Amino acid sequence: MRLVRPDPLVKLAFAIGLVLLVLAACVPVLDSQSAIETGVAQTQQVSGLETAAAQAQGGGQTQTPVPPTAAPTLAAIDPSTFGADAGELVEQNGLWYWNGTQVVFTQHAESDGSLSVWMSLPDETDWPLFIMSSEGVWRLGIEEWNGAITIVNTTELTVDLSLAGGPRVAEGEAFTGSAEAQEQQFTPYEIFNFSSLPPGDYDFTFTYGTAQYACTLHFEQNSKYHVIIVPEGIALLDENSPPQTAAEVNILNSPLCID
Amino acid sequence: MKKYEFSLSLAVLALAILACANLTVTNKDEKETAIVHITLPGGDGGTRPLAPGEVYTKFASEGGEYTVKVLPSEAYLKKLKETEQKASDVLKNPTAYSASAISDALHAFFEIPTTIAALAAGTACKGELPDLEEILVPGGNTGEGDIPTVALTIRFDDVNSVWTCN
Repeated sequence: MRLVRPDPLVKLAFAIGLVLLVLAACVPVLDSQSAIETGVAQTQQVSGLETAAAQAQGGGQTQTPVPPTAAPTLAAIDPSTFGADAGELVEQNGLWYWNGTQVVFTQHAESDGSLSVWMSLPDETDWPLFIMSSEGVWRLGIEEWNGAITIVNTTELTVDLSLAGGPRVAEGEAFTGSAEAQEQQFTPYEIFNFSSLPPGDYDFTFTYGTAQYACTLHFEQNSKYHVIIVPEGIALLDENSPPQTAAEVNILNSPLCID
Repeated sequence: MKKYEFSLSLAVLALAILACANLTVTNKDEKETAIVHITLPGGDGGTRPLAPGEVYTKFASEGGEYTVKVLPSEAYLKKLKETEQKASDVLKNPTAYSASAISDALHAFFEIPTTIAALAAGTACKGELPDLEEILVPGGNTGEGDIPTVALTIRFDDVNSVWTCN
């Protein structure tokens, strides 16, 4: 498969998301507060996987069953229906594995009445890796991620952004980066909106003129950050938790920047 | 990260890329700079001045409707100048801001994307970018190839004093 280069932020987002997938033993990145809100009305484990998945999850979730109507069922999850280039999906002893990583399938009733099947890690059933519609069409779960950041370059200077990072993994306090830094350039007077970042910790380094500012930001579902670049410095804001004092607006003093 | 893990990331990354598209806007005018505002499916996008001959490329990770607008330059630059002055003042004189004053300032900052998007636009193009469902069909072959690119051009119409888009 030939690789092509997308927007660096998008590329990093995909890479970081996939790191979570392959690190099957990692600590859950999302807690219940940050779980994806998708408008799903009710959820149930697909019947044939229920026992195995529950065992894998140490009991699993307690959900009100939804009578399946035109829903995709376990029988419909035929590995051959999964696009070959999307990876290898196999069943072994009642458990499913995607490229060697255990996954579970949960059946969801959408708000419009349609039903779908989500493929996710056993400990992250609210975070779909892939979603299969009632028509049997698969799509990436990335479309559910909605971490957002708006970067406003109010200066006459070109701003260079180096972006790296990844999920924090339970190996002491070690920070496990996901990939090499990606570079992005903002032209003078440019506004950049990105609204589909997966959860994780991202290292931002802004360089313009002779100034350089670095900050690691933690993204969860529904995160909404604003970065305003001015000649004197950078204002960093969390729309969901606005700073209480003007001093905290400055990226140099911002409590949003984690170590 | 272990090597095989990153390889897996890239493999699926490539799959996802194949399912998405690039949107390019080229300023074909020979004299005028345009303020180009792009909104992609899912809410991604951006705004920037586009000088004659320049190309603005945005990568769309989702399929669906896109919109391209040419915004009024004066209003856009005025808004950015106001933002710069306010943010600079907050950074330089934090003690001068009471709780209510900083709240007002922050509200204005949070509204920037909405304010910019609402600027009166004389030119707008809309279209559809391919969706992932078109790639990951059951038994389908994702195949290989470049990212599909949707290319638009803008040009200033001197006679009617408006930007045209096609």
